[in-house]
Amino acid sequence: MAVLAPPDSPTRAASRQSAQARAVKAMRRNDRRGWFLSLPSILVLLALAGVPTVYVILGAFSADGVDAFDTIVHDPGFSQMMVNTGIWVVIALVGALVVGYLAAIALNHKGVRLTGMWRALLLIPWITPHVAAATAWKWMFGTEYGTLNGLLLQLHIIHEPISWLTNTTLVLPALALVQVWSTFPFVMMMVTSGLQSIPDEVYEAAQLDGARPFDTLRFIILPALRDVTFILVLIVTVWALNSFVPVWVITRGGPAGASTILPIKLYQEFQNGSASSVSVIALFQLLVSMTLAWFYVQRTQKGDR
Amino acid sequence: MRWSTSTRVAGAAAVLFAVGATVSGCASGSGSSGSNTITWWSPNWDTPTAKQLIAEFEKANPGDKVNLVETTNDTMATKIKTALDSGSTPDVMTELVSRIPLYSTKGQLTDLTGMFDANMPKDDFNTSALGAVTTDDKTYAIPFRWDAQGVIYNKDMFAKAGIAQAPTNWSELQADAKILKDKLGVAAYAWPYGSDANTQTRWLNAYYSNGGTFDTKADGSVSFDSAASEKALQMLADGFSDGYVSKSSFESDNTAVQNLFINKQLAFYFDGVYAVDPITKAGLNIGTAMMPGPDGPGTVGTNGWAFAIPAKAKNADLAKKFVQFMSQSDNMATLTMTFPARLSAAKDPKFANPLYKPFLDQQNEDGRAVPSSPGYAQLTQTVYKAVQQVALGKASAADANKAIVQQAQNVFKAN
Repeated sequence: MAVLAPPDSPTRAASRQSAQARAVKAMRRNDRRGWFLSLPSILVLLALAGVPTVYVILGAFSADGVDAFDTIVHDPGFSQMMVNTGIWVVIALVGALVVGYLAAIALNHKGVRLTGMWRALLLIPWITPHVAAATAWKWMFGTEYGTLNGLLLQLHIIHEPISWLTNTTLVLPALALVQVWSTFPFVMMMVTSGLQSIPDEVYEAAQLDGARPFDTLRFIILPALRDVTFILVLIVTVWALNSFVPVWVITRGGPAGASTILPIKLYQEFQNGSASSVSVIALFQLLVSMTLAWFYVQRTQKGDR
Repeated sequence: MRWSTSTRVAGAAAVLFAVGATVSGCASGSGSSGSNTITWWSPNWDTPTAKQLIAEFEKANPGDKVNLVETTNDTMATKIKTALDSGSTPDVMTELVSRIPLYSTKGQLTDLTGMFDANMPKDDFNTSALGAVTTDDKTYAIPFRWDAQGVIYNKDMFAKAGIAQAPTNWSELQADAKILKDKLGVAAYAWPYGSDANTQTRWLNAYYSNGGTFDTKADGSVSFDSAASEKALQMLADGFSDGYVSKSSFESDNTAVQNLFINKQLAFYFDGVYAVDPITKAGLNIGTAMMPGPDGPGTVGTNGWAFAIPAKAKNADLAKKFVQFMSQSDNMATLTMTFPARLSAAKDPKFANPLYKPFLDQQNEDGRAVPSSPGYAQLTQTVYKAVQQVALGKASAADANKAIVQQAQNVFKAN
């Protein structure tokens, strides 16, 4: 019969150390295998994203880049462009969150039938190709022959056509509406997942305590969706900052620069052949996006722990 | 975790496939490295005729193949610029004549001067067209189509408003426009201010009509007439506040304006001769006239399309052979929707339509090539914004013109 060494004996200690060393070795082997299998993807990512990023940074900090920065900042339209970008991001973000939340909460209500069908219909903006959608919206916004003005006139909501795309005050909110339309389905999907993780008993308990719908929203739903909301704010903000297609297809940044935002300005400088200006604007966008991405990573890693 | 052999093999195959797909995707659309195949980037409106001519070329040259890749008006400038900058180019490309200097000054195009011979003599080409693609006596593209704009008007609407003939100067045009608006209840005309490129073309016409020029000086700088530019801005803003120029101008490119005209929402508009046939097929009774200027016929910018061979084309010899074939008079006449750049090709019966005559007179008598300086393309956004500002009443012509003058100083400076 085998005799086991006492737990604290040198033999047992050596055996434990040997097992730990083998475990560490196995973990390192797994890590190496993981890195090896990831290597092709990393190389492709470096080639497609890393090289252009380094190129942009070098261009922005070159002598031409410094001159370009000075030119851009002193351009009479610079402050308008920055204000436009701020307004665009705020409307796109708030609009997508509000509409997405309302859609998710409405579809989560027990009284709603055919929720699958409604969700599928509300996903259409998300899956429609951006250029096709922007072209259709351009036609709808037309002053004299657009369907939106036609409908509003027929319903007697307005008495003369609204110049959605040629009024320098209205054009940016109109374009932001298109951005909201295309991004709210994503918000709706994410919020729906979050809502379904809230147990029914919590709602029942709240009802028994006499909570009104607004109280349920304020004290149960929103706190439960805090993490989801944070992630959505970051993602939708980055999308808005990088959004190019709706504005370019519909107005090209006009009229008279009233809808020119950072991505549009970047493309205009590309068309002008000014590589250094492109680098400067791209670097600025990169810094803002990376800051938001850092917050995103911090939040997700905190959730993993 | 120990992986089975089959899992490892499948994983490696997937990785190799992904890398291979990425590499081949990056290489697609570029020139052909085979000795008897070339790639030609051609705009989509030429596709049916291009395919017909390719078939004839391949029949006459057994073993030689031409791959046709369509480009579109909206995307071709960016696509061509990106291809030339990256070095991954087609063998032949159809490009706008006014953009050729952007590439030739960077050494990105092949010198085609040696292609002119007894079958394709230089003096058979429109002088402005050839001049626009030639720098320091070297020709970097072969023009095949040359256009000028004029007026296209609805004769029935004019007759209903009691206007007997097309206006011959700008004051008459404004007066006729007011009558048309008052009597017919629709806007008289529209501009394509929804497109930056279309807007710059109209500004150039007005700039030239007001005496402006772009003269290259010995030090490489280009002259710019500030007064003519300001008058051009004012001309392009006339009529909006009075309501006889359509507000849809700011939402429309040239195609949209043409559709408004075809749908009788406009009594006239400004376009090239290529628009005559589609409008006639739509059933409108139209007339054509030269572009009115301040004191009579205006001067318009003439532009067109040319074949260029990138310096990094993989099969330059076959590309030149193909361009030579396409530049024969009868083939050029077949390909072009408007007037060919070769004078002998313009004798083809298809250009004998009386409605075409004002456009031919315009480009021959009162046409000036779009500036060949690379800086001209860098004026586009500034001009676009300035024209819209003045037309919307957001700025005076004098104030808006300051930005154009500043940008012109930046882009037309000495070497």
